[in-house]
Amino acid sequence: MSSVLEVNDVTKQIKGRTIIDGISFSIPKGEVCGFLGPNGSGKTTMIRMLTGLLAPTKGRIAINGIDMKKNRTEAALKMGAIVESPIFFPYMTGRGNLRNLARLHPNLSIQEQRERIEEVLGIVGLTARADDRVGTYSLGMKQRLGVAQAILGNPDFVILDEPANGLDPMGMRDLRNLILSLREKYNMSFLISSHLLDEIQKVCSQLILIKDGRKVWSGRTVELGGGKLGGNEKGNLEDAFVELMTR
Amino acid sequence: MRSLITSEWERLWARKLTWCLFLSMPVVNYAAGRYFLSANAHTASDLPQYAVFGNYPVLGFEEMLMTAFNIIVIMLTSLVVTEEYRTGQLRMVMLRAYSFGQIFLAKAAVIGSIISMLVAVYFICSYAVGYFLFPHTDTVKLFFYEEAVGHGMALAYNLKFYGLGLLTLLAMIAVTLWIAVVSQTTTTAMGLGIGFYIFSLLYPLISEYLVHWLGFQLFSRIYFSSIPMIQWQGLVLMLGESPRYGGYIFTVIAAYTALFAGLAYRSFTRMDRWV
Repeated sequence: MSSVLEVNDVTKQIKGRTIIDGISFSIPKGEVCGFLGPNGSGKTTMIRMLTGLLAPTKGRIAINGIDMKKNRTEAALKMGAIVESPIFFPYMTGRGNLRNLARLHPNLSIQEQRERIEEVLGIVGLTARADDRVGTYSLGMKQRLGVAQAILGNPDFVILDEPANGLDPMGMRDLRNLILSLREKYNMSFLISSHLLDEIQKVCSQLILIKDGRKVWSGRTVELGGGKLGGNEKGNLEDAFVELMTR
Repeated sequence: MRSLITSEWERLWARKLTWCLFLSMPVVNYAAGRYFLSANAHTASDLPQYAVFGNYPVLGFEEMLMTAFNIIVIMLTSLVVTEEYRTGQLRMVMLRAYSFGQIFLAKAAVIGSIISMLVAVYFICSYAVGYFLFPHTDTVKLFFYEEAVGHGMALAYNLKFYGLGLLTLLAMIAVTLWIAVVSQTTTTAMGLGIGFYIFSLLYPLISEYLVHWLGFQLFSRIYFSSIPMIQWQGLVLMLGESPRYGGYIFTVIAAYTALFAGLAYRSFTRMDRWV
């Protein structure tokens, strides 16, 4: 199976301090991958490098085989992302935000932009509230609009950084179903960073765990949460995660 | 690139501030007109500072150029660059298929376009306000001209003054763009912008006290190295019957624009983006 994301020996140093230390992993097409680690482990720094906001000090990142350093603009065409939290132009409506960002997709004509906006609004279930200002949206609606922004360009690969933050149980279930349906219908691949391990276990087929800027584990979720980790027989991701991080 | 500029343009017009700025132009112009109307009561009618229909566009703009327009540039740049950048809003654009250099150039182009449009609206308002508030004379007295000139020449003079005024504002945009890119908050960007503006007003005035020590030539070079002083006195000297300091002032404006736009571009494209 070909990889939608390849990360090879990526290191990030800031003012002499190593934040990310030689991390390598890949995500096959159509996979939903969890990206886990305690606070300060370097998850968001890694995500910023994956999206091209930060440049790696060393190593190579490729989206669909396109080198992020050599051709960031082409690589970005294949990718959508929510970094840290979904953010919007607060003085615009939901549809206005999407329309403004849709203009930035050079491969879409104006008619195609309009159709795509309606399509993604339908996918995330925001059509009825699309003409309201973003400021009036609930947290769950903002998360869904964030996902709509991320998938606007019909990407192959979507990065979601803490997408379930602040969501109530219904909101979490909606988001989970949305991610799984996008994978099913459009074969989209996801990298999801979250502290909500129960949610990660439900939605992610593969996991990457980092600690202090280093990869400590990667593989199939069932292998970590399913009791394969030394001494942990309960199949509980949280226990396995804590055990790995406190070693 | 065109799509990027359209997107920037749309966002700017979605802000109330942009509409307020345009709607304020007639009000600001009328306020300047009322000021010159009262000043006329104490000014001899054969002096160029006596406002008439033909010279009011320059008199009114000269005052507002070095005050209101510089402040507008500082505000607009801080909001369009620093606020979008530091609140993370610009991240949505940065994640798309455009280089950071293209994003910077689109922002600079949109700010420059809006300021040009504001200057054009102010010019039209000046003629409207001047038409209703000031006497209509056959000839117009201009600064550093021996004789009064006809209305055609006065119009050409006014257009040149507005064009040069716009160039000084573009230099100011370059400075504030750099400040906006390196500032961590909108308040810092506005504070540093105002600080630069006040510094640019103060050092020429301080140098006036040192003119005997500096010599007149060095003093005038220091004086016209300041953007607000170029706006206040330099432009009329450049446009006089016997133009003075033209080459020097053009060099200063070009230096500000090239140096600070280059620094801003470099900072925007090279630094890590913690947004």
